[in-house]
Amino acid sequence: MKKIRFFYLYACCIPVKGTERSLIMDTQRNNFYFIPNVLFEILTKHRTKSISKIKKIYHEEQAIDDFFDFLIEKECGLFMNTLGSFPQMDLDYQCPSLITNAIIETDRNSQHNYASMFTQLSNVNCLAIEMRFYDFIALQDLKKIVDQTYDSTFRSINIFLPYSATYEQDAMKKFLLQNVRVQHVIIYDAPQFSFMMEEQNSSCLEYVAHTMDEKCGYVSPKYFRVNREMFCESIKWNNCLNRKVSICKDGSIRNCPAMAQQFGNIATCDLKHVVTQKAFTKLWNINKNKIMVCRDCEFRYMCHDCRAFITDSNNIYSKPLHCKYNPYETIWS
Amino acid sequence: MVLILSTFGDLSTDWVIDWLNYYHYPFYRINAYDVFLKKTWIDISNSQIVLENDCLKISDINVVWYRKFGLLRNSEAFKNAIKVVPFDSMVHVYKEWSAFLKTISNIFDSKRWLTRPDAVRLNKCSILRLAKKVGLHIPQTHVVNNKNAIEQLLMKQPLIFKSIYDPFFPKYEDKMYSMYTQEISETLVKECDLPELFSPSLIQEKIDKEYEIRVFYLNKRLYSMCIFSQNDTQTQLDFRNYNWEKPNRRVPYKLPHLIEKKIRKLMHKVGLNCGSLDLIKSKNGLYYFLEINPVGQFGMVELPCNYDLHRKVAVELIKMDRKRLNRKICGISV
Repeated sequence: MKKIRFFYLYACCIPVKGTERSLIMDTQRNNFYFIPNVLFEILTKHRTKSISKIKKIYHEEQAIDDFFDFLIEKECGLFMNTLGSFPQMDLDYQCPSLITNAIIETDRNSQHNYASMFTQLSNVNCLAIEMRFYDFIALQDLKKIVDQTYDSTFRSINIFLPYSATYEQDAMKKFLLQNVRVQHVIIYDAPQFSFMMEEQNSSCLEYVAHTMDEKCGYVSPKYFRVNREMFCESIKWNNCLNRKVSICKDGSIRNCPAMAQQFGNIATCDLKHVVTQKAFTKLWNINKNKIMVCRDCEFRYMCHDCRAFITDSNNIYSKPLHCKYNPYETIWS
Repeated sequence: MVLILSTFGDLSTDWVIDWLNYYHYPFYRINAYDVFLKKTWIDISNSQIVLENDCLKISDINVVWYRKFGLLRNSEAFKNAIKVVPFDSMVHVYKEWSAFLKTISNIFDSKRWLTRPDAVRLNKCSILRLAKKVGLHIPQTHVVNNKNAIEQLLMKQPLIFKSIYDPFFPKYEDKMYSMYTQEISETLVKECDLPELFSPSLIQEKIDKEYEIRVFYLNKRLYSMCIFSQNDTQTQLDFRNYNWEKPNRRVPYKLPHLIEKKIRKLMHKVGLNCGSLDLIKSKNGLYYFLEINPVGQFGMVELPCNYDLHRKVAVELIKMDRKRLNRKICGISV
């Protein structure tokens, strides 16, 4: 039996340090495991050192063995004789789209020219759109709008509709099957909740009893997303606003529907020109390391930021208003 | 201009095209089944292709990316035809289709190719022999058609069975069967009532592996990924028996310099400038070459390792398109 010399932490298991405690983001299994800060140090600063060397540094035998046993138990790594074949992962974030996601709001007063809007969004290689309807729209009119996405760059379309008895299940299911890009239809203000998934193309139809929530920015473990893309984007960019655009009811172009600042109107402006302006992309650069409190928090690369609702409206770097976590005491209030 | 020969719905193609758009580089995509849906006119004498309203001048194209272009059996047209057309006629339809695809690829014969179509029909056994020639380790491999040979071999070492060509998934009496790698045990030979003689089959010694390695090869560069399939009984023999609950660990990997060199030599001999390779590292520290998949998914290497491969493929196509056509990348038949 060869002697075990090193501990290899899988490249997909990324340690993140908080003020009081650290965690390992398991980006392949969408999970995370809390670890003490000293283990973070072992896994990062002393990553390439042999186990016996690490034991010497900390004058500890048992505790170090226990640490590694814990990581083995969580399947975060392996004992190895050499680490030479296992490079670290490049964590750079690359994206071919100027805009990845767009929200399009519509109410009865909206004057959108959808064909032109979809062309403009395709010019920035937008991959996904979410259409939020605040007033009733007949299914045949909705179909006409969706038909205009035929030549677009969109890979997925999500639609929010206010409940109407005319949106009966069979018609909606047929709509989902005929429009492969439409992945999720949510009918809000419905009399009762129901959810179904179309087996053929795994699109979803959902009836929800609650109303369309125009507020957002809630921070909670149930919104955590543990994956590599989220991690890579978060270390570099603002993980809520980066490459996002909203076209509001009146056609105004914004970073998000909850933001007051407008950057012209889709009817009169060139979208590509707007979203490449410094003024528009300014907020994209506010990554978690620049945000107060968040930068000390162990959850920062799995948790969505919000710049619309913040604790200090005079400080754009202040903590999200709806976050109830205190990383200095590790408690949710 | 870059020409892409692909199939509708191939995600890797879509992602590479995103990057070509990002670099504002001109390209044209032909999906194999377009010919069932769009008006197609190939003008052999004037070297141009007309698809609906698009006219494609052969002389405008410098590089062709050959990516999963046209498995007839996956098309709707084929699925409908097979219900009414008798088997022997279907075989002929298949041959006609292959000849048609060959016509298209021949038209671009003098162009640069990312994956030359005449190099993709690989024979597993020939490739293994070539791999051995360039100095890579290969598992002991036999093609046998009788029980007796299997029993003899089993006395020496544990064995596995593989398809000689591609694995496929026949449906028989409403049950799906798979041709993934299978272990052949003595009990299996006895219990399965294996006949004395059967159709020739590929048998290999079972390597006691530490982990599997998947390599994406792109113009002499190697992007390797290690798959720890060994810790999970479900994936021990073939990691494609996915465990969705606890996916196998997949991480970036660096092959020893000498192995990389041999792989480059092998790919050159086969005439491929792009493709995926499967290797395993045995418990006794040797790297065994298993096979080449010339149009393999690279999304599966890209995703866990963040190698940025779709952008790299796009950049490679642009480079190849810009280079003056001074030298053909020769496909050497195996």
